[in-house]
Formats: sequence, C-alpha cells, structure tokens
Amino acid sequence: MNTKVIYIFILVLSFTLIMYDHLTSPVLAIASPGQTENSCAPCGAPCRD
Amino acid sequence: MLRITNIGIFSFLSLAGLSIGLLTFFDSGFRGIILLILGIILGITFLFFQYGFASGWRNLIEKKNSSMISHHFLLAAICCVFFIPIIDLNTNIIGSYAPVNFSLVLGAFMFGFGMQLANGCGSGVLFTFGSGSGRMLVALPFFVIGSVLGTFVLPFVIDILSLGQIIIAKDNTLIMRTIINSLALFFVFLLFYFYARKNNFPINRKVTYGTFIIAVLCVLVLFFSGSPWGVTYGFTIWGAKISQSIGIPVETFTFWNWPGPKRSLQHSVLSDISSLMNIGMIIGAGFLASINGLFRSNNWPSSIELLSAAIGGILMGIGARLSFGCNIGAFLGGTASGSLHGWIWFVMAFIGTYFGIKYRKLVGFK
Repeated sequence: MNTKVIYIFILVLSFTLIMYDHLTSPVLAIASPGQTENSCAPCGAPCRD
Repeated sequence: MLRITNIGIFSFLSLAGLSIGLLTFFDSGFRGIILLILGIILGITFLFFQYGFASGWRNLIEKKNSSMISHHFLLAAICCVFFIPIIDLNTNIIGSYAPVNFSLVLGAFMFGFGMQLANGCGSGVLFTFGSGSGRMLVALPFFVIGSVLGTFVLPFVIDILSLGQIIIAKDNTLIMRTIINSLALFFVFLLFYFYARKNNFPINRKVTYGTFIIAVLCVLVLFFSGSPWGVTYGFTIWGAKISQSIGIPVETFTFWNWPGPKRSLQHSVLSDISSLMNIGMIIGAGFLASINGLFRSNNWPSSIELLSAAIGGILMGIGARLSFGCNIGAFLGGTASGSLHGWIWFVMAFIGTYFGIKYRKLVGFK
C-alpha cells in the first residue's frame, strides 16, 4: 500500500469533515471544557461535594 | 536552501491552513488565529527536533540513556516557573488540575503501555501523523476511538478512591509554591542529566534548544488559551462527533452531559482549543515534511506494527480520558501547574512503558 495516497485521502476527508462540522455547528467563543464553572479536570469533569 | 519535495501536499495543506485560519479568525478573532498558528509552530518544532516522549522513555529503560527524559523534566521545570505565577495572578487563566484517584493510576498505566505499542504519545502521534507516518495513520484513528470509549467509562470510575485535586505546596506563598514545584522538577532533570553523563550519553544540544522553544510556545499557549496546552481532548471531540454522525448516541453518555464536554459537542471543532491546535499541529508537521522530503522515506509498516499501533491507539485513547490527559496535558501541564496528579501520571505511565517495552520485545519490535 502507498502511505502517501492513504495520507492524502485521510487529509482530504478530514478537511471536508472539519468544514462540514464548522459550517453546520454554532461557534460562540473558543474554549476548553476545563474552563467551565465547577470543573475539576481539564476534560470538564465536575467537582464532587 | 529549502526545496518543496511534495508540492501537492504542501499546496493542499496551505489551502487547508488558510481556509481554517480564515474561518477561525471570523468566528474567534485574533485569539483563535493565534492558537492555530501556535499549533502549526508546535507541529513544525516537534517534527524538526524529533521531540518524542515514547522513544525517550524507552531509551532510559532499554539503553540507560536518560538524555531525552531529562529534557522532558527541564521543559516542565521551565514551564513551571512561568505557569504558577501566570495562573495565580490571572483569574481568567486556569491550571491543569485533576483529581488523584483510581482512574488516574489505571489510565496513566494504560497510556504508558499503549504509547510503546503505537511508538508515539499524544503529541508524537499527531506530529508523526502529520508527517505521513504509516503507523500513525492507523494509531490516530484508534486513539480517537479509544478516547470515545474512555468518555463512556470515566463517569463510572472517577469517584473510586478519589482524594480530589491535590495542589503541591498549596498553603505556601506564590513565590514559595513556584520555587518548590520548579525545584522539584529541576532536581529530577539533574538526576537524569547526571545519569546520562555517567553512562556516557552526551546531552543533545539540538534537543536542548528544542526544549527552550517548546517551553516558550507552551507559555504562549497558556497565556492565549487560558489553560495549559492539551492534546487528547481534541481527539475525543473528533471521535464523539464522528460517532454521532454514524448514529452512536454519545450525547446520552454521562460525560457528554457535563457542561464543558456538552458545550464542545454542540459547537464547531474549530471552537475547541485542543481540537483547533491539533489541526494546526498536523498542518505544521505536514508543512515541514513536505519541505524536507520525509514522505519519500516512509514505507508501509508490517502487520504486527499496524496491529500494535491499533491496540496502542485504543489503550492511549481510553488511558488519556481516564487519567485526564497525556504527556502534554497531564504530565507537562499537571506538574508545571503544581498539581500532584501530573507526578502520579508520570510514575504510572513510566511503569506502563516498562511493560510496553516487554511487549515490544515479545513481538520482535526493533
């Protein structure tokens, strides 16, 4: 198998998916899940009492 | 003189980078475009300096060469000097803090093991994928799948044996906290540095320069993004969105109903910092690879390498979610923020690495 052909295929497919997702999803502000309130980990897991 | 050896890939990446840059700029302004550019520069830097975690840790166990791992601690020590004051003095900037619990221990072990199977960590998978590595073309999709599986598991295990977040020297003054944490990291750097010298392994000057450049980039990421650089959450959000599109109801998972993940699932992949910077890193590595001719030397890996890359990818994906990140988000971000979970992550991932190397020998990896 040719690595370069597979690489280009994945690259083009990924770019298309990124564009599709971006154009069909809202964008309010750039953020990380860990920046939300009551978050206890970078992935946004909430703090337990 | 620079010569573009893969004009097609270079042109496509330029077009993709420009399009994504423009969309990011229109939606997120300068902050978004700066983070994308930082991702691109990180991709170029990691590939140029071949800044690997997996091979560096393996070198210590297999060859008693601690040169590379000493640089990882130097990187964390430099970052720590800036991270703790920046986090403390800016209410809008948060550190990479996470609970010390069972899932951290288990996940970091899985990550370390998987890292040796796939031959790359979170950032390593990204920049070698960007440069067209056949093994990473397999490892990355499985990393993405694994991280979605991890989102299903995490809520069930996150409270097991949890001690909560533990911040080192929390009750000390800002200056003392910074000194204690950065000196601890610098001390480990020195241990590995002298161990490498004792075993006649010279310190690679080029990697040292790379360490300082990456440290500067990490501080810039912290400043502009509001939190330390993280890689694996970007994979998780990609996987969740793909899963949704093929009918898997990830939005019903507890994880995706937590406010932060819920927000990122509903919004564009370009509005999540980790996802945006990962895209930048792939573009950056691809740019450099298309200039220095790396693609020409890439051969398709053997079946056992591909199978191991797939298993390693899955383990790293699950492990990263359970342990709150990878070498970048958990180890570097955690230790540099003064969080104990970063140190525990390192110890467990290193133990996992040891067993991963045993596996490599078992299947005859070089």
